[in-house]
Amino acid sequence: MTLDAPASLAFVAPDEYPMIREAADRLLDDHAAAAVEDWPAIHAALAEAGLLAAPMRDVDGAMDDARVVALVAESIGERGLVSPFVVSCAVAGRALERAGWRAISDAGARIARAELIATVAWYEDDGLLLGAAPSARLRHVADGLVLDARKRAVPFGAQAGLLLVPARLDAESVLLAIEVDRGGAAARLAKGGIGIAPCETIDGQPAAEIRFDGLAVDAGAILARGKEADRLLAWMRDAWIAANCADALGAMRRLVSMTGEYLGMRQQFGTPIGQNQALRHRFVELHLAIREVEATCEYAAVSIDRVDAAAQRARAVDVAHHAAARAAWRIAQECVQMHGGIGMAAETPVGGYFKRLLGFALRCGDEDVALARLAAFPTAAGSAA
Amino acid sequence: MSQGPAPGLAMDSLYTPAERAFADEVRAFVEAELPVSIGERLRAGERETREDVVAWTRILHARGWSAYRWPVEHGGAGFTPVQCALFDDICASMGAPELVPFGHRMVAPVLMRYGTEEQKRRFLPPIASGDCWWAQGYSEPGAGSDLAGLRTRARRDGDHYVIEGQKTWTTQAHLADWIFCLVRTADGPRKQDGISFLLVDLRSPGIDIRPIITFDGHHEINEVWFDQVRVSAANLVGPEGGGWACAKYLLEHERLNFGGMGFCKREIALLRRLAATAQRGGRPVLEDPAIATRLAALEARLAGVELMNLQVFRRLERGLRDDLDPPLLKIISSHLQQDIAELQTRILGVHGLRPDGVAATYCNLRKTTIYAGSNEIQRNIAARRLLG
Repeated sequence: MTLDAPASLAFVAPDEYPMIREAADRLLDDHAAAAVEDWPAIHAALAEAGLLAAPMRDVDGAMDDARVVALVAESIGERGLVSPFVVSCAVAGRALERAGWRAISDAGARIARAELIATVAWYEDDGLLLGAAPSARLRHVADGLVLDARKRAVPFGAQAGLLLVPARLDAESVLLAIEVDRGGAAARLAKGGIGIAPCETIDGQPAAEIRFDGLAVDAGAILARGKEADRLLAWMRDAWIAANCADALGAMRRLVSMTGEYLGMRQQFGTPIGQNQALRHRFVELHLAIREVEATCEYAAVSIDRVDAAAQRARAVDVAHHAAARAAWRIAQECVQMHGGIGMAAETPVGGYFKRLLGFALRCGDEDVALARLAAFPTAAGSAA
Repeated sequence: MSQGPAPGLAMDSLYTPAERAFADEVRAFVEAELPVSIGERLRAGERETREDVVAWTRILHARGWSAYRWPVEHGGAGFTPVQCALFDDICASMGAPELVPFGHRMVAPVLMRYGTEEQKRRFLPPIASGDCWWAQGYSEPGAGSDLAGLRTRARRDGDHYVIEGQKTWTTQAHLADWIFCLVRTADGPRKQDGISFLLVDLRSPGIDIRPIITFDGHHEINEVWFDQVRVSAANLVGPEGGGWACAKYLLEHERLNFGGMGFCKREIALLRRLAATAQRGGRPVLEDPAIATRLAALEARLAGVELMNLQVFRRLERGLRDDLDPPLLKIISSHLQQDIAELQTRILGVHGLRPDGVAATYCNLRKTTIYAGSNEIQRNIAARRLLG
C-alpha cells in the first residue's frame, strides 16, 4: 500500500524537514559556545537562514507550519541556547497573522527578519500560564482606554519591541498589542505609565517585570476581544506549550546522551558505573520517557495548525504536555544523580540542562496542570457512552 | 463504545484517507458479524472462552481475515503494520476475542521464515482456519528469564527425536493441539548453541499436561511433561542446533506486536462506565476529582503509547527497524495494562472483591510484566543497546 498522506499526517515527514533540521543544527552548532548575551547574533543568523520566516504565513519564505517550529525549537533546546525564537516568531508572530493585525503593517516581516522581537505577557501574580482570569484591566476613561496591569516574568520583556498583553475589558477578554521602543521608555500606540524592570531567570533567560499604570491605549492596539480573543489566546497557549515541549525534548535528548556517555566513562570499583544493573535499568526508563515525549510532541505539533478542531488541538497538546512535564522533572533529577558529585558542579553543562527543564515545567505548568485540563476534557467524559 | 483511537486523538491527523476507509470497513464488519453475546460479555470485562475464539476465528476466516498479519503468499490478508494495528484495536475495543496468539502471531512467522515448504503447507492453513491450536513450549522450571538455560532434551533416534523433560507456565496447553518447543539437542560452547525448535503433537504418547491454577483462581497455564515422547524429524524447524535464532525471531515478533492497545481501550471504557456507575457519598465516583485525575492520566498515557506504536509502524513502513523498539514498547504497554486494571479495582472499594470481577483481572494482569521476557530482561536488552 502506498501512503496517500497529506503533509499534516503525524509521523510522516515531508521531504524538506530533514533539510530544515540539518540547517538549524549546523547553524546553531556554530554558536554552541555562545554566552547568554549573544542571543541577538543567533537570532539574526536564524533570520538570515530563513528559519524565522519558515513557521509564518504571510512573509517571504513562509511555510505556515508548527512542525517547522518544533524542528528549530528542538535544535535550540538540544544546544541549550538562549533564543526568543519560540515566543517572538512561533507564538507572537503567528498570532499576529492569525488576528489579521495590520496596525503595524510590517510587524510580521520585521519579526521574520529579527528586526523586531515580540513577546507575550502571559504571567501574573499567580505564576501560572494564563491563570484563571487576568487581573490586567483595560478601563474606559473620558478620552479613551487605559491599562492597569502587573505582568511577571515576561520572556524577553525588556528586549521586545512589541508586547502582546492579555487583559479584561468590561466582562470580556482582550488581547492588546503594545509597541514599545527599544529602551522600553515610551510607546507609539500607547502613552502613559509603563515600567519595565529587566531580570534574568535561574535558567539564564532574559525576562522582565512589567507594570502598566493607567497606560493610555489606542483602540487600534486591541488585537482581539471577546470570544475571538479567547480563541486566539487558547491557540497561543497551545502553540507556546507545543513549541516549549519541542525545546525540552531537545534538552532531554542531550542531557540523557551526555549521561549515557558519562556512565560508560566513569570508573568506580574498577569498572564503568554503566555496568551496574540498577543504573542501566534506570537509564532505559529515561529513554522510554524520551520516546513518549517524542511521539506525543510530534502529534501536538501536527495539531497546532488544525484550525478546524480547537478541542482536539488542546487535547493533543495536553497529552504532550503531560508526558513532557513528567519526563522533564524525572530526567533532570536522574541525570544529576547519575553524574554524582560532578553533576552538581556549575562548570559542567548538566546543571544548565537541569535548569532549562525546570524552566520548561514552570513556564508551561507542571504535569498536574496538564492533568487538570485532561480531566476536564469533554470528549473523554463523553466516551463513557 | 470506543472503537477509534485513544480518547481525544484525531483519526485524520494520524491515518491516511485509505487507512481511515479501511478502519470504517473493519468497524462495520465487526458490528455486523461479531455475535452480540460475545461482544457484550467481553466489553463487560469477562474473559473469552474457547468457544468464543473458535466462533470468531471462523467468522474472520470466511472473510479472509483470520490470518490478517500474514503476507498474501502465505494465505494472509497482507495488511500493512498500520492496518494490523487498526484491525487489532477495533476488534478488541469492540469486544472481539483475541485470536490464539501462539499459532497466528508466533509459530506462523517462524515457519514462514525458517520452515520447509512442506511444513508451511501442512501447518499454516489450519492455523488460519482455527482448526489447529498451538501452545508455546519455552519456559521451564529452571529456565525463565534465563531461557537458554533450558534442559528439556531431544535425542535423535533414526528419523525421530525423543523428548524428555518439562515445560512450564504453558498458556492454553490444555486447549491446544500442538506445541512448539525449544529443546536441547546438544551441549555447545555457549548455552544458546545446541538448542533446536521442534513441533510436537500434544496428543503424542508420553505427554502429560497438568494445570497450574493462578492466584486469580483461573486455569490458564500448565505444566507440560514429556516422557520419551517421539517426534518425527520432519517437525524440526531450521537446522538442528539452530533453534535459538528461531526463538529470538519469535520473541522480537511477540514483543513488537505486544501493543494490546485495543484491549487497553476496552478496559478504559469499562473503567469509565464503572466510575460513572459506582457511588461514593451519593455521587458517581467519576465526580471525585482525585479519581477523575487518575483516569485522565491513564487516558493520556494510553494516547502516548498509541502514538509511540504508530511512530514505530510508520518507520517499519519505510523499512526502518530498530531493535530498541520491541523492549521499550513491551515495558510501557505492560505497565499500562496493569495500571488500568488496578484503577478499575481501586474505585469499587469492597465491591471490587467479587471473585469473578475486576479484581480477578487485576490479579491476572500481574503476568504482563513477567511473561514474554520479564520487564527486567527487556531493560537488560535495551540497556545493552544503549550502553553497550
